[in-house]
Amino acid sequence: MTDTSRLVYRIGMVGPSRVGKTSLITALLRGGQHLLEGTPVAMKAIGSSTQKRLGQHRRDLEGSLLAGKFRPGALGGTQEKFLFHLLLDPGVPDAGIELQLLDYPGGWFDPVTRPPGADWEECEHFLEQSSVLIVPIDAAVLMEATSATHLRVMPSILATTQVGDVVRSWLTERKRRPDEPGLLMLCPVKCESYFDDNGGDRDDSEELLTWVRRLYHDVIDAVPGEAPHVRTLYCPVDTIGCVEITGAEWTPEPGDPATLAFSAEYGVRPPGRQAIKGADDVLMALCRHLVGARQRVEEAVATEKGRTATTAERYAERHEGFFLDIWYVLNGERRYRREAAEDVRGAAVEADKRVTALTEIIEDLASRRPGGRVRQW
Amino acid sequence: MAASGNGDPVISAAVQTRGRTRGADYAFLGEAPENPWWRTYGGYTTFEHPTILLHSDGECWEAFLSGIPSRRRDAVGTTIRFTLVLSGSAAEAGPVLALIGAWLGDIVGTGHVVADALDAVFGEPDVERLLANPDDSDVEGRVLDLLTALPPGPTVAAAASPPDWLWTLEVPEARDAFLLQAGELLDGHAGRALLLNLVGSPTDVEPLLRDPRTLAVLGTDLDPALVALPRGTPPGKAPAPSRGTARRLRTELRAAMVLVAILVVTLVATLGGLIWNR
Ligand SMILES: Nc1nc2c(ncn2[C@@H]2O[C@H](COP(=O)(O)OP(=O)(O)OP(=O)(O)O)[C@@H](O)[C@H]2O)c(=O)[nH]1
Ligand SMILES: [Mg+2]
Repeated sequence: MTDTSRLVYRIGMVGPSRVGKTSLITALLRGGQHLLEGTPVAMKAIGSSTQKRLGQHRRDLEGSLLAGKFRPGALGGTQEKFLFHLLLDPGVPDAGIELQLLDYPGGWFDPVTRPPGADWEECEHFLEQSSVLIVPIDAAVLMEATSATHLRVMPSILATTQVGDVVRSWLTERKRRPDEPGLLMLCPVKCESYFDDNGGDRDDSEELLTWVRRLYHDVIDAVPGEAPHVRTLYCPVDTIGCVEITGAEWTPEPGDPATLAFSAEYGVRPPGRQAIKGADDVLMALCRHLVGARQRVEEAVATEKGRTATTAERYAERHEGFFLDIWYVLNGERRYRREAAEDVRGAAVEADKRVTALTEIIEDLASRRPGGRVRQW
Repeated sequence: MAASGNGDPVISAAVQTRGRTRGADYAFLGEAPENPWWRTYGGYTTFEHPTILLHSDGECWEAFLSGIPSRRRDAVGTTIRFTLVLSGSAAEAGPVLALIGAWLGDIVGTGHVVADALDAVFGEPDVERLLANPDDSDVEGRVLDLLTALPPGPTVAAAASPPDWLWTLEVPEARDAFLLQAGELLDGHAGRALLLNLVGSPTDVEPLLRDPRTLAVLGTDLDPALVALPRGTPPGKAPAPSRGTARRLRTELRAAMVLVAILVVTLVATLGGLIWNR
């Protein structure tokens, strides 16, 4: 299914069970399609499975918004890993950028809860290969805590220690690839009730930011020491948008009364239609990351030009083609032009225009001002 | 391992589900099957949604049923599901066809036959206990009791269908054909019967035709007509060259002809020169 000549851009998710990984992936993909509407570039599912998977999630979500109360019944937890395959498609064969997002059951990433037989090794390998890591954070857990006991159980509910472990081993891998840009995104989800920019009437966004800094300071602080070339972004996302928290409960675990379980109730804001917010910020950050990668190669090529003309090729060998591919794809794709030249002249010109359009759109998205929710550390 | 009257293992069974708390993610109650063979279908189906996989090599069969909704809810209020993984030999497959029939009926109707049966045997306290103590395992025996208590499956009239096919779940005849195929597999015929919810077209299942065993696929929300799946070119027969290859071949042929022409001209000129100079 995957064309080997295509640039593959891997994005890994890190988060415990029920935090919101699957919802965030589907929101990003829907947001991406929306962002590119009206441009010559499309964001398309590769193959039926991703397309149908997105459709299933959408139907489950729509079903859960009926009747004025958010009943997430059908939006159940993930049982096996699933790879979402998408293509940023300028309409020219072999010229797009393939996005791969890996989803897996949250229970797998914690060695303590990982069930025997979990397919974690492959997930781990994928995360290592990912140049972008996204950490969804359940905002309600942070914001609805009102007592010292709540604060005490917060890290275990959010599995911050395990998140830290996974991020640190990703940083170690990034350290080994100092020339390859890395992007770490902390994405609070379930945060519709704490912003006033998407139908809410309360602005508790500063408090949310403070909590995220406090709970994830280990992760945030590890970046400059471990891999200073990695950028850290804070991008809150409403994956549903049209809901509002109406109640939160902290109940003692039946087996272990010292620990508390957290659950929240949500009402639906009229008109009860999904209103994704913040996904475009994540996508623009991804584009900025791609453009950054290209610029690094160009700089490297320019400085080494005197010595050798094959710098980019050597980079390609060192980095499994990631750099060279970015360079090719975002440089207007000369290699493609040569191949196209064998074909009818008019078609080649048309194809070239479309590939240039992809570059321009990525650059345009990269240059847009991020929304008011975003912070860079 | 479950045992029949004389002590020989007949059907082995495993149940996967999750607990209420966030930490208690999907896992097998008791022992997990040794080989997670269903994962090969990860690109063809969402296991969280109704899925049926049934394989037979002629002697042994293995079955996987997932997406079975329990009445239990997890910490964020979403429905918890059950997955059943079974295997056995052809001689002892009786209740499995009833199970597949009941699950198919639940999927298209409003019934909860299979889910209720599982909930009755694996209630919340039980599940939480089994997840916490995976060694405590009378799971298999309970599943087998549950299977034998299921009402017998519907009898389906035999009807002709192609050896390999794709049809949509919503058509009653498609479900009958599926059950017919499932019955044959459990009776000791080699083949596969699969309910795959991510299949969108016949091309999606083409890779599954590399396995020589017959293939019956139920998809969801597809065209209502039965599609006979063609087997690809038999091994040994070379596929037609692609446009690119054809073009390259033409270019190479042209180059060879030019080379021959140059050789001929040189030869003629040399010979001519020799004769002329004489
Ligand atoms: N209110 C609100 N609920 C959300 C949001 N995102 C996810 N949820 C709900 O949170 C629950 C868990 O979301 P998932 O995306 O399935 O979580 P997950 O991390 O994939 O969970 P596992 O697959 O079990 O690891 C679901 O009931 C979602 O509907 C959000 O932005 N707002
Ligand atoms: Mg999930």
